[in-house]
Amino acid sequence: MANIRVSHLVKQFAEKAAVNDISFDLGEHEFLVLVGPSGCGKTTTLRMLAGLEQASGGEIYFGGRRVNDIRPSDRNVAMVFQDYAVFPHLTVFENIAYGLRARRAQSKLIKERVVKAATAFRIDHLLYRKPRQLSGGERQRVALSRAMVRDADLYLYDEPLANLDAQLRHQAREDIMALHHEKQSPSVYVTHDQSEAMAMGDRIAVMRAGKIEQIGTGAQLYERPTNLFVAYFIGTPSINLFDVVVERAPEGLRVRNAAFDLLLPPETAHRLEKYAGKPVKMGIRPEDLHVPRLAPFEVTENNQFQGVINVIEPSSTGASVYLSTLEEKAQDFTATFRTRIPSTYIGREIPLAVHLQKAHFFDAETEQSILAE
Amino acid sequence: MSVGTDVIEPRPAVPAVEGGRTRRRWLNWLFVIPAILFQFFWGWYPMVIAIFLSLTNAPIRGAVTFRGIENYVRLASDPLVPMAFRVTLIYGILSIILTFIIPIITAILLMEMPPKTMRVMMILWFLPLSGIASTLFWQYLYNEKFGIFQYIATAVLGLPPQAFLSSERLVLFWLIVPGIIMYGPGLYYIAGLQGIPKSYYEAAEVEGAGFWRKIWTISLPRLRPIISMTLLFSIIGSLQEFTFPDLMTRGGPNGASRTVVMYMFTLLNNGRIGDSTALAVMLFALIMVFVLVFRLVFKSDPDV
Repeated sequence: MANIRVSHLVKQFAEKAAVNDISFDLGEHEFLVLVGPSGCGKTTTLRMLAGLEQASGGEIYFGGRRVNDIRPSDRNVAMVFQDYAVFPHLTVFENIAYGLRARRAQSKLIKERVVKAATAFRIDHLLYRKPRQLSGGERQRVALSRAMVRDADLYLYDEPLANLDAQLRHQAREDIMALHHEKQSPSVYVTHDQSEAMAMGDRIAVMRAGKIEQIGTGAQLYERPTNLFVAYFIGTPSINLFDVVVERAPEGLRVRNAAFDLLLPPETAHRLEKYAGKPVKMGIRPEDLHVPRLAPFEVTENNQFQGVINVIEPSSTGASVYLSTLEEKAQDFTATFRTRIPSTYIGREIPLAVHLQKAHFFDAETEQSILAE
Repeated sequence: MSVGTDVIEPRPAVPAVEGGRTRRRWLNWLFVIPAILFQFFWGWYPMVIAIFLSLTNAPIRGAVTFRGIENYVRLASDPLVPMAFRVTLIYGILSIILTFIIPIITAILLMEMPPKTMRVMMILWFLPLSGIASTLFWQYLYNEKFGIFQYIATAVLGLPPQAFLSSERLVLFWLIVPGIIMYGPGLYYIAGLQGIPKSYYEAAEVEGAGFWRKIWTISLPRLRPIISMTLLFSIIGSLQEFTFPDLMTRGGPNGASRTVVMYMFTLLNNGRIGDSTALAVMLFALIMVFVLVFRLVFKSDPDV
């Protein structure tokens, strides 16, 4: 088993840098998720790890060995492709056995391992079928079995769930995690779905325009985003962003805009001290807006404001409520409540309590977090 | 009762106008009839007539009289007939080996080249050449006195002067060589190869497959339908070869390159229509045997 180290990796395509100087380490049993909008370079990074794409700069090390110039077939990685890349002319058995045959394993060993992997993914009854006769989910499990049957140093997943429907996706997630627990090898998983990333990754690297914006555990990214992009990308519904001005008042620092006037709690206030009189961006997660009588903190004039309800979307645990502020140039925002709101509330004005201890603040120009320093 | 909400109600396939069904059927026939007529007059009708004529004296003028298998008996005692069949079979086998396998290998190797090189090579390979003009050109290349092949053989390789097309032993081989360059089903293979998803190759590479294993386990199986189709066509085509050897050698030397169809043509020119059609029927039977064997060996595979 090897640690994986990526240092200053660059991939240049003609004019454009698809991957622009990224570095990260991957622990022995770690499951790292690369997440970002399409075109951010996450798949290119994965393909460079596999060797399918030649790096234009930087280094990739597998346990101390530089692998930049080593062919994919000699890197001992396993990869699950978005379209599964299951060979249609081979039976399920031969598909799973492909890597072992390429490595000239003994046929007794092949049989044993293929059956074991197929059983783990519940396709052992389909071993002698052709992929044409399988459903999408079953084909995906063939691809997973093919990855499982070998002992690879690194497991790579290129959006393996993108082509599955929602029901199967959950099952497939469990299957992938089961494979990871069985192998305990470092894994890199690419997705554009942040909720998938949050659910699966030991650590998550959020990428944008060829760079890693932030790398950390799901909780770190969610609670301590280092910049506006990460804050906005992680979490559904997305964080609410307000342009506010920090103002000094006798009782402390206040943040103000046309819709509200809030008093910052002391622990946040001292961080924002040097922004007094300046505009900043305030981010409030939808679940940090509460119905005042149910708020888990004391609600005063200093931490609430008014909004008007536009849409109520009931969920299994409560409701997502889409609101607007009251001023003339109304701003839309979202709140998720742990209580059901009857649809008769649509159009009504309600007070909202803000959990200011959990609010995020970003520099208006650099978009870097002010709290995370 | 249906559970889903997206169940599509079956709609009548035919507009519910009076007589709609009849009109549709009439239209179907209208489109099919030209092809049927074509097949009938240039395919089935000549075939049936040929079988019939082969059992008669088939005179150009006068009454047609039934002669049973007399024509076939006469052909059986004609030493030129087995010779023509031998030439045809050797020609067919050689041309399939050389002009069938080489383009597959070339196409696979072309795909490995950088895209720019590949495009240039493809233009060179698939230049549209006129059949008869380039055949005449090939005659010059093979010329025993001042042809470039003779030059290569004697001046470059230092061999004794070669007979080329006048060699009874090698004439068939030299006739096939132009086909390697001029007959190119390679374009079909390139098209087929380009239709193979890249991820198959990438998955194979990651799984540890080298160059040959990728060709053997991915390229060739994926090309199978195209390979089987071109193989069938080249079997049928090469057993009916006429134009090229006729232009190049006129069947010589001493009939060493006279194919069955060429001998049929000779018989026809000599006014022996009955014998000629009998020979045609024999060739037809031979080709049918090959096609049937081919169908048995090459089962079509729905998974490809």
